[in-house]
Amino acid sequence: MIRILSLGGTGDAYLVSALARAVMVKYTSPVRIALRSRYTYIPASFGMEYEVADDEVAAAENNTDLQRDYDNQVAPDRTFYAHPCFTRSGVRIDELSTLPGVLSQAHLYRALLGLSLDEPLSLPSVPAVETKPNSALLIPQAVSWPNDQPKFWRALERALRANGWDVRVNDPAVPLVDLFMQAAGAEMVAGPQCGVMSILVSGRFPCRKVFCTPSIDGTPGFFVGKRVLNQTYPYGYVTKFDGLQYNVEEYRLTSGNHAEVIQAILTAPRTPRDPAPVQ
Amino acid sequence: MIRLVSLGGTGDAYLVCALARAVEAQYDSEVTVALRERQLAVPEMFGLRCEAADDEVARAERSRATQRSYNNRLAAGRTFYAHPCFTRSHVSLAELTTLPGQLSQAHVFRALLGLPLDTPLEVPPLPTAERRENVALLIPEAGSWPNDQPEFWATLAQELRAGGWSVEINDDASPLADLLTFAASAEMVAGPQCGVMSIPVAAEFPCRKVLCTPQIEEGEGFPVGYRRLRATFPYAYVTKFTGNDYDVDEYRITARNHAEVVESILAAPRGQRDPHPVTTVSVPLTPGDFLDRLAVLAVKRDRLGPAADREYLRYREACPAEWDGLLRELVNLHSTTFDQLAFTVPAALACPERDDHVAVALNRTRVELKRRIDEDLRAPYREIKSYYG
Repeated sequence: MIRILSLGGTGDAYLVSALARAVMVKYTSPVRIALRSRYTYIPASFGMEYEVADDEVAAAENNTDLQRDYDNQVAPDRTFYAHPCFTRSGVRIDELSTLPGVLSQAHLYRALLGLSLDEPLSLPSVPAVETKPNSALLIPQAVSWPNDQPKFWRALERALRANGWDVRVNDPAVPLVDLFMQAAGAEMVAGPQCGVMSILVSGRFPCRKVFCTPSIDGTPGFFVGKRVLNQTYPYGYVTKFDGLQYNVEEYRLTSGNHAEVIQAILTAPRTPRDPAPVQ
Repeated sequence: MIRLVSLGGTGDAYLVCALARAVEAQYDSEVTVALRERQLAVPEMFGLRCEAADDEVARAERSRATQRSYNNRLAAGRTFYAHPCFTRSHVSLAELTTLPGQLSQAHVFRALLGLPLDTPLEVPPLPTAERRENVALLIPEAGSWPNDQPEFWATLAQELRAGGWSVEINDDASPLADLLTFAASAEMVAGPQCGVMSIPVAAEFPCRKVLCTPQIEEGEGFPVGYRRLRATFPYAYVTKFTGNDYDVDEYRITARNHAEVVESILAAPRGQRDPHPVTTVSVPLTPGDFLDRLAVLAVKRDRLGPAADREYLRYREACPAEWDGLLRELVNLHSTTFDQLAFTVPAALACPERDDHVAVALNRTRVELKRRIDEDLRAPYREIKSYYG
């Protein structure tokens, strides 16, 4: 049994789960994913075995000595810490330079798990819920992206309601299983670049996906690894997650463009979109 | 003192040396570069302290156990093995995803050395050598790329000589310093994608650089890290080394295109080119936009010759074979349109009374403006429109 401990956020847990079957095949060993209790819905949606490991995940995330020194090998009867903060994972970074395009989060996890860089991601089972026309789910809060423009979300909510939409605003305390159930039944889901939004895209949920990502240009930004990111794009584009392009809407929110973005969201065509990747 | 041991080939040594002063500044310590004796010319170009360490380099390259377990930490008083095969180098992988474009070799070395990913590469002083017109240096052999088409080089040498060029073919045994000095003086240097060819490009030698890279699509490829590389491009493009683009010629050599490539090399303009990096923009194109542009370039190449070659070749290389039918349709359409415009545009421009005169004149202004933008912003190629002059 290979035990993969998933650190980080929802998106990280998704990528680990989407590659877990490939790990089983490559290492000819069963795999169990250990992760935060809040994220257990994710491996479950891939039919993967999992266990709750809140304390162990928190301890690993806070222990920089362990991250630097642990001999992080994917092998039967070992625990593999699946996160790039574990720097002794045997990755040859020159191999990443063979990629024909930009490096995505999925490529990073393939490399960490010792898989081929073009290993396909498995698809989860999407909750079987009928789409409710005119329903919109807003997800203003993301762990991995600063929400410094809460006014936008209130204005979007008001405008959607005024145009006949049934709007639900996500409560961060809602269990993930319920959040994904709501998303599967919504006509539209809007949120910033984050793990939850990326899962809706990569998992091919049928809803229309609208990325409204607060601009970090000219701000102190935030850390990605040891680097401060203070440019919204291209990092904020949908392609950064699994390396593929999808038919979604993407807006960079600035303090001066709320009305313009809301207008564009309201006037976009409302015909169903193909959730599969595009070229 | 930090001791940087450079493993691998000439290109690896160049990147280590081009970043060595940034390492000195970041870690507040002097640096000595230790490497194979035959590569000493590289740190010497940069005026760096260096030492030959052939046995140590060979041992480090062989020992997989050392590569995995050595605590490769960059700090004063320590030896750092500057190569990605040393996997315990404390590289922050997540930050590599913040790069706006492809990961280049220079990015790999910046990450290994713990430098910011946008640390500039130092450009060394040029070897002192007077420019020799009509002199071509051919470098058929590369340590890092299979030379499985030696007959291409024989043909190229023969045709260049027939065209009045004086041709020198590199002998692997000649010292690297001599090779680089010769390259700096030649009018043209041609070779496959490799470290030695990357140096004249990255170090901004004034010679024309022609990368003729044998295709690996039909062979077994070769390993890069744990991965077997089987596609020539985009890995073999000049951009892969420093992350910058340059005004160079690039060809994928197949068993069938020797004559075509040689002809294109001979026919290319011989004016001196700017050796500094040029500017291109990468954005996702729809298949329709992509094929439409490729069709335009294909028609221009057919009608106007190789001036539009490099842009065309880049598009052609990126076009999946299964789109060829769609491309043919567009090429046929553009070909007919080209003939029509070649007749209509000059006539409309010459006659202010014609209904279409204003529209065609505005389009000419657009083309002129576009050319000026490309010139001011240092584009590697300019659009040619025969009917606008």
